[in-house]
Amino acid sequence: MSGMSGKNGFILLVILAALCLLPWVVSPMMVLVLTEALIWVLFAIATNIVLGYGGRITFGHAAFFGAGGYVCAVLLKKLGAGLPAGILCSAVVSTILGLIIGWFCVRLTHVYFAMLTMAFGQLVWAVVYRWRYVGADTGIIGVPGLTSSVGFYFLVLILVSISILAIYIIVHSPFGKVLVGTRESEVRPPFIGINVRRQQLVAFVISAFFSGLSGSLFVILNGIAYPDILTWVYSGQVLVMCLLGGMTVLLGPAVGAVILILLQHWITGYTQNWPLVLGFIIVLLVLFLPNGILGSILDRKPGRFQLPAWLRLPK
Amino acid sequence: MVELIITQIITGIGAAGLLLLMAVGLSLVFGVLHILDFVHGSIFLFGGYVGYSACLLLASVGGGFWLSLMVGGLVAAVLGAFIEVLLLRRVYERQLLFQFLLLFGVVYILADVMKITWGTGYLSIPRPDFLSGSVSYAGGGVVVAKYNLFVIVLGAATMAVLWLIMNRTRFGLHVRALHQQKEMADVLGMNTPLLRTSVFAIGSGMAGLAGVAIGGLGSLSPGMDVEAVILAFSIVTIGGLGSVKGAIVGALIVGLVQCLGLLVLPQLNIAFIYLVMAIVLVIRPWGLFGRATA
Repeated sequence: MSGMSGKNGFILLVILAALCLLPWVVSPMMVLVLTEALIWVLFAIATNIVLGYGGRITFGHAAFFGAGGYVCAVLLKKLGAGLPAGILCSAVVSTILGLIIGWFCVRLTHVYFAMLTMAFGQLVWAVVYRWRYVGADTGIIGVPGLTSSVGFYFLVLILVSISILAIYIIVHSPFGKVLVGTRESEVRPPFIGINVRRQQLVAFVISAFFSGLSGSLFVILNGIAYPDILTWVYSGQVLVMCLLGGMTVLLGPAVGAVILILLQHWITGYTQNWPLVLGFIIVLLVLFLPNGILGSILDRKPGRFQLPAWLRLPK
Repeated sequence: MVELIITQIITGIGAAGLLLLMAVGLSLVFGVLHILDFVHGSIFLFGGYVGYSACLLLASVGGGFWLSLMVGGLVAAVLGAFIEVLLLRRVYERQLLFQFLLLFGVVYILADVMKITWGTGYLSIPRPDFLSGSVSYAGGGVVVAKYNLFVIVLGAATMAVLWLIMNRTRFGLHVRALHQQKEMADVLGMNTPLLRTSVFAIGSGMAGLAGVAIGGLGSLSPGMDVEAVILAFSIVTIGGLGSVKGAIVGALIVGLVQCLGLLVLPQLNIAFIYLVMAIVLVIRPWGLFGRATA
């Protein structure tokens, strides 16, 4: 963690302090939007463990996000569990689901990995969509838990901050460096005794854990769990966030998530055609800014303004 | 019971005929362009909507249905050509993820454009008179809608035409050469950019045909685009990405699983398809008829 001392640590503290003060500056509506943005920040960073660090295209990550959400909804609404139990159990169940799905997926790469994650994601969706107990196509409405929006904002802020710190420690540990190694080559790591599949599986499971955690927070915030949160719409949106911010940077997906959610909130105030705008944003990004916003700033030649080096991927 | 199963099997083959039109285009595009064509479903729905509008305009003229089938297919092919020339050409050399995300963006754009143009309601294309009603066999035990039979014929006829183009024309020869080795095709002086555009246009045109055909079977509505493309993805992954033979078998498997699953466990008939897809991917990632190296 040596890189986080001094100036960089100071920048982080300023951002955190600003986030703590925001609820008293912005409107109550905006507090909810910011909470949602923070939840997506966690989901995006979690997805990027597989995408950016593992180098595998996952097109079914909404399965873990949604599973976490549904478990939380069932526990809080149907079984009367408390908030901590609900959140913890959803993360645990998502982890188990990640272990099962990941065990199969890590055997494949490239297109096939993407297709298999999509198949499993759709499978989870198809089961939930017809499952009477969890409300089938309507979902579970009226999930309790959101008593004070500012209180919940801080709960989310604390959980997301701790999670990001944990992910930072994980990807900068020897495990994280080996993971990036398995991204760069399938063939070479085994020569030094590395089990590529096991590395990828552990990354997948960690990613599922944090995705489930963010899903449970999302459901508590909205008070409803609906089948859509398991579909390609959510799997795709989180990929777009990673792309927008920059997949090669730890906090890239976070930047992407915040920008996308704020933009969505702002644009839907004017027009109903948000998907059209989003579509053009994606096309322009892919064609002209493939490294994302944060990634492109980092890749500039050394100049006056430079982002701290610890934001980069371990190489 | 036997009659019911036979009826469902014929319905399943009918569904397979439509799925086939979708899946073969997808498989062809992947085989030649190495692109996972995520906009295939949007083009399919677009073709259907265009067919619907054409049918409305041509309501007074005889044979409106056939004309709209052609118009839907052609407009879809032109749209495909535009997408290929304007966007896809820029990303052939890029990573899979960027190609996928680019097309994902186009899906969003087309979905919204279609919503603005045709609204969010359910639209269906009127069937011509002689295709409405049903035929019964085995003393009335097996009842099959005529339109279902038409869809089977349409699928088979399109496949036959495609086979002729691919195996009996110079153009087909070039496409197969491109499929095998792009560099060599370039060296031999083939116009590979034009070939790629044509292949993408053909695939899109087939999707458009399927869109119009499905408009006569049920109704067109927003959301069908991605539903269809994900189903088509499952077919081509089951059959083997890039393999036309695989797409045919995959379409039959998915069509039958869908319709027979309805008899066995109606709650899980969609889930069955993804289960089959997952099992095939785990056991033979390259699909039933694909090549291991692809």
